[in-house]
Amino acid sequence: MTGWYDDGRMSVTTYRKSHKTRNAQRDQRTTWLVLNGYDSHDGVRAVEFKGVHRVVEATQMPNRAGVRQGVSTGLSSRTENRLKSGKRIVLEVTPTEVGFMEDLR
Amino acid sequence: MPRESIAMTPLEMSSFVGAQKWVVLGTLDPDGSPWADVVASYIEDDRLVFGVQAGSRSDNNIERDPRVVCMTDQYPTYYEIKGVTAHGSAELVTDPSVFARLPEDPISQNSTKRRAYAIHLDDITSFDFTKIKAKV
Repeated sequence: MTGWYDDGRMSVTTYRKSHKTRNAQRDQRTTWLVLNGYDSHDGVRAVEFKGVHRVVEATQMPNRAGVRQGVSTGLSSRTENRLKSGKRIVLEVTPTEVGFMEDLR
Repeated sequence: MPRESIAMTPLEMSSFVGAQKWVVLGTLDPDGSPWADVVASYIEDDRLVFGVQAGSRSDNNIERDPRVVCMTDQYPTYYEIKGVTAHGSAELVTDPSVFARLPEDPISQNSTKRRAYAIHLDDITSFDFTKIKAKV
């Protein structure tokens, strides 16, 4: 999923008909885990966001410096086309509890 | 046109999960909301075995409600994304030899109180983006 962190909230885009969108619409309680990868030589690190999420009807992704990185232009334009057509939505989580895991090797 | 299938075959799935040292473990907090952890794991026959720290939030959650999800993925680039999600009911593994096979982690190393659980790999979904044909 393409995603970003902006102003204290995490967001990802996903399909409107996906399992997780249906789960989010039924129950707003959520936990997100952001990992640096499982086989990092520096050890596995993770940030955990527990909070509430909501489905956002967005037509574009933010494109400011420092907000979204690492997604090709082709992928982001396809994602935005699908947001505009309503096939994709944005899931946004506002954390109420944040945890860190460090140095798992 | 039907959506192309990007699921893994059973062999691809076990090979992919078997190569992973860590999986994300999802459990249920007392209020029924989700909690996630990163845990050491390995595959044995048709089971996924994983270790948690005894008395940890994940361990307490499993004791209260054994329904868990284990998930692992890789994402070097978009078209190399692969992931496997397994739902199951965690069963306590009492054979101490499992700990020799579980990768060590600093939390559990510092404590002798480690606990192992297993789920049967019979409720699985997977995705392999290398199978996507129409790349952009």
